[in-house]
Amino acid sequence: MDENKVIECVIQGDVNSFGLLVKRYQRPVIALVRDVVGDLHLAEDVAQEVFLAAFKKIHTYNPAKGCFSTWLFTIARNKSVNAIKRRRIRRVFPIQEERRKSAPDDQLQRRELFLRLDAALEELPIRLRTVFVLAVFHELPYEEIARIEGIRIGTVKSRISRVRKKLIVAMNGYLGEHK
Amino acid sequence: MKQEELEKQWKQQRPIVEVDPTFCESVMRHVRNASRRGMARQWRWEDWIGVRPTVQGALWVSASLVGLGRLLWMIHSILFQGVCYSC
Repeated sequence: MDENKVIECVIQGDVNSFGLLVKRYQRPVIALVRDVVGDLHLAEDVAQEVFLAAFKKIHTYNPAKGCFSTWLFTIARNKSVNAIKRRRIRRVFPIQEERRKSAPDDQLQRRELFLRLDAALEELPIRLRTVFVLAVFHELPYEEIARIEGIRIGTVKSRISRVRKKLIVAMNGYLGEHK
Repeated sequence: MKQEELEKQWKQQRPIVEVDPTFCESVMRHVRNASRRGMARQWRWEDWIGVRPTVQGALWVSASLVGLGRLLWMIHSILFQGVCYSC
């Protein structure tokens, strides 16, 4: 079923149609929130808030201004930022820790590096972190990121460039040495 | 190794999100509750005036009302007071 028709059905009062949107977008929304807040359990709670807010405000969605995913990701981004502000969150990825134990030296070094990068990402100001997560982890086009963040494309590019410069410090010694 | 390659590897090694099978149902429970409370169908200008209100539209309507008011006041003055404020 066409997405805009589903949205129209929800606006007309068909609550169950909203379930189709939840099923379609639950994974990308939870992943986006997880990547920004750094905690999967919190991400699920925040994602629930995102979908509930989307349902309440669905009549304000205007297809002429951009696709539904952009609108939904904007809500997800804002709710994630609010969650970070509400409390200090430690970014922990337990799966990485388990893998570390049995990994050979080179892989172990790489895991260490990724943990350093996670920590470096956590230290970034929120506005830089969200842009980087959207661009690198979710591979969204700059135009869409600009809409989500409410900034110009040039600003998106400059923020990504700033993050990359900061991450080089965490990658220190790794760039150029390993193939 | 280039920075972009390393970022790609960084992205790939991140744990894949496994969505809790009950997530959708849990969201829908909240949605249905919200719907029952009437939060989904709030009072909206669109239902009454047929278009989504904008600041530009509000300014246009205000200016029109002021203009119409001035015109009516002028007609009233000419008819009942015999005075034309424009003259």
